[in-house]
Amino acid sequence: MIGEMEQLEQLCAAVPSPDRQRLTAARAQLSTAIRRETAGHAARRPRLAVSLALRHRWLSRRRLGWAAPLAAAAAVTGVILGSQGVFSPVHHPVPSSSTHDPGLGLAHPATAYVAGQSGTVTPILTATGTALKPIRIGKEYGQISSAIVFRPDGKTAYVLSSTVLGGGSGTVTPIRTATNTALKPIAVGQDPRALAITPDGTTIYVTNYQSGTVTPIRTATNTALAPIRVGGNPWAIAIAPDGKTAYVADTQSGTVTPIRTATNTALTPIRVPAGSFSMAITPDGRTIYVLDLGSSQAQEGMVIPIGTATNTALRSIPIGHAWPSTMNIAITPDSRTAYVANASTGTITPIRTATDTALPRIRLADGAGPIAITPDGRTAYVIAGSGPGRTGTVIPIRTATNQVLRAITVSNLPSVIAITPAPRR
Amino acid sequence: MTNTGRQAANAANADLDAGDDAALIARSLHAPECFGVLFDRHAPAIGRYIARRLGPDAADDLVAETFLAAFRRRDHYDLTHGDARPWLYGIATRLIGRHRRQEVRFFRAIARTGVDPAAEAVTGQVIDRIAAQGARRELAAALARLSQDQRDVLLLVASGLGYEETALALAVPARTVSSRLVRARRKVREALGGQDPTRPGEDAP
Repeated sequence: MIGEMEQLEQLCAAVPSPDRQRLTAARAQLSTAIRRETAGHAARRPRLAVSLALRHRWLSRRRLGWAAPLAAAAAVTGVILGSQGVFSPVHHPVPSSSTHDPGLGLAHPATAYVAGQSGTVTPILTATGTALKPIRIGKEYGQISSAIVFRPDGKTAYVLSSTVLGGGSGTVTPIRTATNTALKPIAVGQDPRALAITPDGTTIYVTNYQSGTVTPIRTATNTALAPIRVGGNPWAIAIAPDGKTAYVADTQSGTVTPIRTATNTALTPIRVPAGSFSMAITPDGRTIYVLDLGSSQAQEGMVIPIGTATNTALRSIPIGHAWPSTMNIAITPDSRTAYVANASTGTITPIRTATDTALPRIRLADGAGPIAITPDGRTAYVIAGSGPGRTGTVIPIRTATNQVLRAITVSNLPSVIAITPAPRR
Repeated sequence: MTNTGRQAANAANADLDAGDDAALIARSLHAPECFGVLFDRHAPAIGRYIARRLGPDAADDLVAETFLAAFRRRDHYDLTHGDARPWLYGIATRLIGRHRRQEVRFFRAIARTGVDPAAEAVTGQVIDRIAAQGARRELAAALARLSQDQRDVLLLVASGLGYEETALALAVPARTVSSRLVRARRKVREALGGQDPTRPGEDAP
């Protein structure tokens, strides 16, 4: 008698390969989806595993996800996440007169939360780089978590996730950070993409890509309120520093819809020249910068400024060919300069926000991916070589002179960078 | 680096068959048509796996669904894994999981009738050997009684995935795969008459 494993292997081996005809129908369905995406291109902006939405949060809004519980001098300057949740702390290379305290431990160890595809969120102690026990946030293994925000008091993290198969309804799972336990998931709309929290921490807004809505969540009770219809396929969201307005960009048509947070009503959409996957708002709240990849190689990538006083799009700033790669943005704490990274050309375009004019482009040898700026505004860090098959490097840029400093090598395929905040005094 | 995206798009049609799955998927981020090559590479095996668990008719739909889901989520693919099979088997397995009852009915029907719709096209030696032992019905009955987790592990391994690959497909640690496999094999073994081939004489009086 043969063993049960051999019998099972034979049972599997007994199934013939599907004949061509059977596969043709499936192949045709895939081809249709591919054509639709190629034609529309708007479809998706490429992302690596864990990270884009984290990057949205951590970079563009600069309220660093895991940073809130911190009130200590930051030993770790940057945190880089690889596509597999690989985690590399990077120390500040410019000690000189810096107020940072390199090499010393944190008074209150910060925790980074890394979410991926497996329906779990892994807390990592940044002081030691140790991973703690993963927190399960979904029944399905295939739950993808794409974004995390923290309440300003740091007591609760909110993890946005949807099923691996996409298109399904999404959830936001609160995690109590003191105990790293997941609370009851809050249902949001179809295929959620991004979330943002008001500066006072009372409300979270979630963009639902398929539903064309934004779901507000009241954090006091962890309940979802009635969804706000914005239409189209919303993705990027940014909340003004005063917390009064949330801005939601549509990926297809060129609109940015302001939402009055006091009443949760959508205001008249602001017309912009193109759909977008990414935007940032200056810390002084005066200007929103919407990133437009351009819809083909014939068009340049653009940065579209929107003056929040009038809610009108101003003249677009060209930054070179960007399609079909990615663009990232970070703004200095003093709101004076926006740094826009163009992965396609490997350049950084500094933009003087006072006049919305582009300064000379900074060319990087190894590509230009996600970007973050230190709280003192002195240094910008750009992930380079974040594309497949490249080793990870992080390039510091001195913002005073826009001079490129020596590259820092990190773990493979970094995809997110975040910087610990300035000490609160 | 300059113009990565453009280069990727231009190179899209060249040397597509070269390179591992990760390279292909990476390229498909900018040049979606590259993803078709992944289908041509892996659809037959994925089709067989699904047909084994749900029958050939259900497999037609689920192969399409598997690759559509993979295409839509290709930006989540971990590019450090050169071989995309665990990922694709994982997606297929999750889709199969949505048809739990149908799968149990499918195996029960085989147990009841001895007719295996997934294998009927083949009248080869392999089938005859199993049929000759009269074990197919017991095997199907045992599969119908396993938990979904155990069936996932058992049939992924029996389909040719290694422990590590199965662990990747199911997004669980390899040791979980091992322990589920041990339990699943024990159940099947008992259903087949309790003989443990690795420990002869165990059942001897």
